[in-house]
Amino acid sequence: MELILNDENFEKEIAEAKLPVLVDFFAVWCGPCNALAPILEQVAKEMEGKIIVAKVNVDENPQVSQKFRIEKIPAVILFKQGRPESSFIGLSSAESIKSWIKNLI
Amino acid sequence: MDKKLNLNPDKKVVEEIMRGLLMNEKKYGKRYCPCRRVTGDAKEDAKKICPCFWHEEEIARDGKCFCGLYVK
Repeated sequence: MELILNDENFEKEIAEAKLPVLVDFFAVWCGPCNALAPILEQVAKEMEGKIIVAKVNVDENPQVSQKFRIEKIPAVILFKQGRPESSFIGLSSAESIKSWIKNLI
Repeated sequence: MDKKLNLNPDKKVVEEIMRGLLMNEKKYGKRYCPCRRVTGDAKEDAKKICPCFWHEEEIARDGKCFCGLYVK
């Protein structure tokens, strides 16, 4: 199950997470975001117990989006021990994302 | 003379992005690209009005703009 983050709960959830957190910054009417969403769901299922997959709607959460300088979406950031470890922008395949994560965790 | 832009032949993609543009027009008063965050900085955000400041280089480089509305 994906974790829904917002301006209010973001810092606490990221800081207290027991696993690395993959955060998908998205918007509802962004085509590439909607194409990436099911791919990240697949990654979340296949990597259950290794990472947490979370989402932030940038339109509804300007503070956290501004903090991490989100310009283009989808933007995906992997947080490890509460800190941003690495990121990518745009559409990617499940295999590439899994390989990227495995190199980071 | 305006340059000719080619819409993505995938109607679903076009419809989705058009909805995003119209939502942004309703929300912000301008048709900002739905794949770029509107920051509130008028000068910066002006570059994100579709077709955006970057669309030509993205189409030339990637075959489509970042959001996928326009293709080569």
